[in-house]
Amino acid sequence: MSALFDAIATGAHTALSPTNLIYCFGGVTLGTLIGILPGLGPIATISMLLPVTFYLPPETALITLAGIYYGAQYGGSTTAVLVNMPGESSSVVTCLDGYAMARQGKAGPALSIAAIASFFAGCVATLVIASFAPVLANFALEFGPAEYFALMLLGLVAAVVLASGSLVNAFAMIFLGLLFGTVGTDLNTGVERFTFGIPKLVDGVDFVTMSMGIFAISEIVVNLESVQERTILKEKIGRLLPSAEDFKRSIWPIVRGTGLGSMLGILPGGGAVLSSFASYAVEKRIAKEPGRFGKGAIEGVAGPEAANNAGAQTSFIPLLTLGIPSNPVMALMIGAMMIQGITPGPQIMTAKPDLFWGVIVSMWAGNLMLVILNLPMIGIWIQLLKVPYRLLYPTILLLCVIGVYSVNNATFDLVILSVFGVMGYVFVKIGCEPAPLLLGFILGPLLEEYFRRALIMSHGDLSVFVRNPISGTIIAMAAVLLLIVVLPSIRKKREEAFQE
Amino acid sequence: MLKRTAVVFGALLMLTASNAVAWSQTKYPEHPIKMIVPFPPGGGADVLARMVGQKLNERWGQPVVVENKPGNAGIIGANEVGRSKPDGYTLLMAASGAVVANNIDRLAPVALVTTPPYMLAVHESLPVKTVAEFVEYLKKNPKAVNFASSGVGSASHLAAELFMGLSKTQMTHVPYKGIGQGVNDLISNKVSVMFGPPQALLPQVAAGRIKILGVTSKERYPLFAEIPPVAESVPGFEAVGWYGILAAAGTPDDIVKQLSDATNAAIQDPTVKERMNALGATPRPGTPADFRAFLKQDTAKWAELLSKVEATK
Repeated sequence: MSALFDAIATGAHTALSPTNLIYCFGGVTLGTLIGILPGLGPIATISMLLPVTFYLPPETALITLAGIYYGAQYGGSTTAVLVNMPGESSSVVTCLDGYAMARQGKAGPALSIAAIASFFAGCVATLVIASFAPVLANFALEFGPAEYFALMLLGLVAAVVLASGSLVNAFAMIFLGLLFGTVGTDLNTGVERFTFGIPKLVDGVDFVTMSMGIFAISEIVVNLESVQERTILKEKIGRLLPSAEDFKRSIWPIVRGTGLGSMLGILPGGGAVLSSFASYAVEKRIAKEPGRFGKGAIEGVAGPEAANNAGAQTSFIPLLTLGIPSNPVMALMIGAMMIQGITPGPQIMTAKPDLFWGVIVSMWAGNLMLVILNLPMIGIWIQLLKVPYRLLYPTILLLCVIGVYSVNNATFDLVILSVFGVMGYVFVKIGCEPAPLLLGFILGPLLEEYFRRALIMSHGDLSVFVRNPISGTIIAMAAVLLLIVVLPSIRKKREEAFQE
Repeated sequence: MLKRTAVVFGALLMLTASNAVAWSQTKYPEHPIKMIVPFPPGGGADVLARMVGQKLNERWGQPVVVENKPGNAGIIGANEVGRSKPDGYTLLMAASGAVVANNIDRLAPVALVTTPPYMLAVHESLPVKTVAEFVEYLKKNPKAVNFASSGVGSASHLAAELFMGLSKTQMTHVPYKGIGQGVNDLISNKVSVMFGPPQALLPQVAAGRIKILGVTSKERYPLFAEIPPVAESVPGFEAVGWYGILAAAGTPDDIVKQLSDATNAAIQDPTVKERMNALGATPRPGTPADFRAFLKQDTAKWAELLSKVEATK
C-alpha cells in the first residue's frame, strides 16, 4: 500500500507542476468544448493536435491529450440533453432521458447530475487504475474471441431493452443496424460487401457520420415542422440543481454505472460507448417502474453518464500497462508517444514512472477541474435554449458538417451524413427509435469478427462458445434475458408498464 | 529631397532586379506544400511525414501541411495524389500497401525513406528457439499453429504466406483489424505466431511474453544486429516494409530532384535518425531512380505471391 502512495506522490510531482496543470486545464476545457459541439469528436481533435505535442515534453503531451478525451465525455452530454443531439458517440443514450427531462423544464438537474455522475465515476476509475491496473490488464488478456462474442451477444439482446416502444420495431432497428455494420471489406476474406464499387465505402460507414445524421440532422428537420414545441422549450427552464429526490434516485445508478464502465472500458473495442448502453439497459431492467424510462427518468441520465466516463478512463489501462490500444483514441495516444520517441509497452510503468503515474494523477486533477468548470456553466448552457432556432439550427448544422468532414477529410462523408439525416427523419415519422439501430451497428461487426475468429481458432468447433466457462455463463445470461423479453406473457406486462 | 528620390529609385531598381531573377527560374517551392498521409494519424507513415515535413520547412521556409486521408489500406489517399496537379505541391507519404499495380503509373517516385524489417515472433511457451526449430515444429504439427496478421493482404499476412511457401509448412491464418489487436492475442497465447513491426513486438519481449526468432530483412539489420535473419534458415526469404515519398506522375524532373535531395538530407539529420531508430527503422537515402526500381520489384513480388495464395484457396 505504501508503494502505491509513493507512486502517487511521484505522479503528483509530475501532474501538479504548474505547467502540467495549465496544460491539463487547457486539455479538459478543449475537451468539454468539442464534446459540446456535435460531430467534432476527440479523435478529430487529438489528431489535429498531434503535431503540436511534438514540441511538448512527453508527460505534458499525454496529460493534455488525455484531458481532451475525458473532457469530451463530460461535454458530450450537454448537447444531448439540451437539443437531443449527441455531442459524442457515448452520449447517444443520454439523449433518451436527458432530452425528455429538458422538455419537462428539468434541463438543469439533468446536466448537473450528468456532471456529478461523471465526476464520481472519474474519481473511482482513477483509483481503480492506480490500484489495480496491472491485475485488470491481465484479466482483459484472459478474454479471447469466444468471450468477446458472448459479451457482444449479451449487449445485442440488451439493445431490445433500450427501446421504449414496440418490440417488433426494436428488433427491426437492431437488424437494420447489423446490416449497415456489414458494409465494407470482410475482415476474413478481404471481399467487399455492399460497397457498390464506391471506394469510400470500402472501410464501411463511419459511426460519427451515422449518428450525426440520424440524431442531429433529423432532429433539426423534425423541429422545423412543428412551431409549437419551440415555444414550450423557450418558456420553461426551471431549477438548475437536482432535488433531494433526484439525488436519491441517482445514487445507485451512478455506483452501478461506474462499476460497469470500469469493467467494460478495459476491454478493447467496446469501451465507453458500450458501457453507457449497458448501464441504461441495466437501470431500465431493474427499475420498479421501467415505464418512466425514455420519458425523463433521471436514472437514465445518471447511470450511463457515470458509465461512459468510467469507461473512458479505464480504457487507458491496456494502453499504459500493455502498450495496446483499446479504441481509436488510444491508438492516437500511441502515435503521440511514438512521436516523442517512447515505445509504448509493458515496460512503461517501470521505465517511465513519472509518465505513468503523472498521467494517472492528472486524470484526478482533470476531473476536479471539469466538475468545477461544468457546474457553474450549466446556467449558461441552459441559456442556449433561449437562442432562437433560426440562429441555433444553422450553427449546429454547420458544426455537424465541419465535424463529419474532419474525421476523414472526405466530402463523401457529407453525402452519407445527408442520407442518414433523411433516414433519421423517416424513422421519427414511422415511430422507430434509433438507439437500437446504433447499438446493432456498433456490435454487429464485432460480433461477426469474434465469432469467426473463435471458429478459426477452434477449427470450426462450435462447442467452444459453451465449453469455456466465461463465455458459457455470459451466453446463458443472454439466453435468459432474451426469454424474459420475448415470452408473450411477460411482454404483455411490459407493454402494460409502458401504458402507465 | 534629391537624396531621398535617389534612395527610392535605388530600392525600386533592386526590386525589379530581384523580380527578374524570380521570373527567370521559377523558384520551387513558392507556397506551402501538402503532404498526404493515406493512413490515420499516429501511425508510422504519419510520424515520418511530420518529421520529414518539419525538416523540409526548415530548409525552404515553406510550411509542409500534413493531411491524413485514410481508407482502403492507403489506396484512397494514394489515388488522390495520383489525380493531383503534377507541380510538386501535393506529395504522398506512402507505405507498403498504398501503392499497387492500379495506381503505380500515376505516381512519380521521389525518395525512399526507410525499409524497416518485420520480425518473426512466437509466444514464449512455444518450444522452439530458432527459425530452424520452428520450421521443424511446424512440419510435425501441420495447420495446428495459428498466426496473426493485421488483415488479408497486409504485410504481416504476406510475410507469413511467403514464409510458409518457402519453408513448405502450413499454419492457420487469423486476421485482425490492425497490429495492436494481433499483438494482444499473441501475448495471451490465443495465437502463437506473428510477423510484425519491431516497435510493436520488442516491448513484449522485454516483458517476457514472446520471443523473436528472426528479422525479415535479407541480411542482419544494423539496429538489431543480434537477431539473425529468417533467410539464414529459409533461403530466399525477404519481406521488408517500406515508407517513401511520391508525387503525381508528370512532375518536372528538376522539382523531383529538389524534393529528393531535401528528403535525403532530412532523413539523415541526427534528430530525425534517432526518432526513426525508435520506430525500428534506419534511413535509406537514394535517388528517385533507385526508388522506382525498388517499387517495381516489390510490387511485382507481392502481386505474384498474392495470385499464388488465391490460386491455392
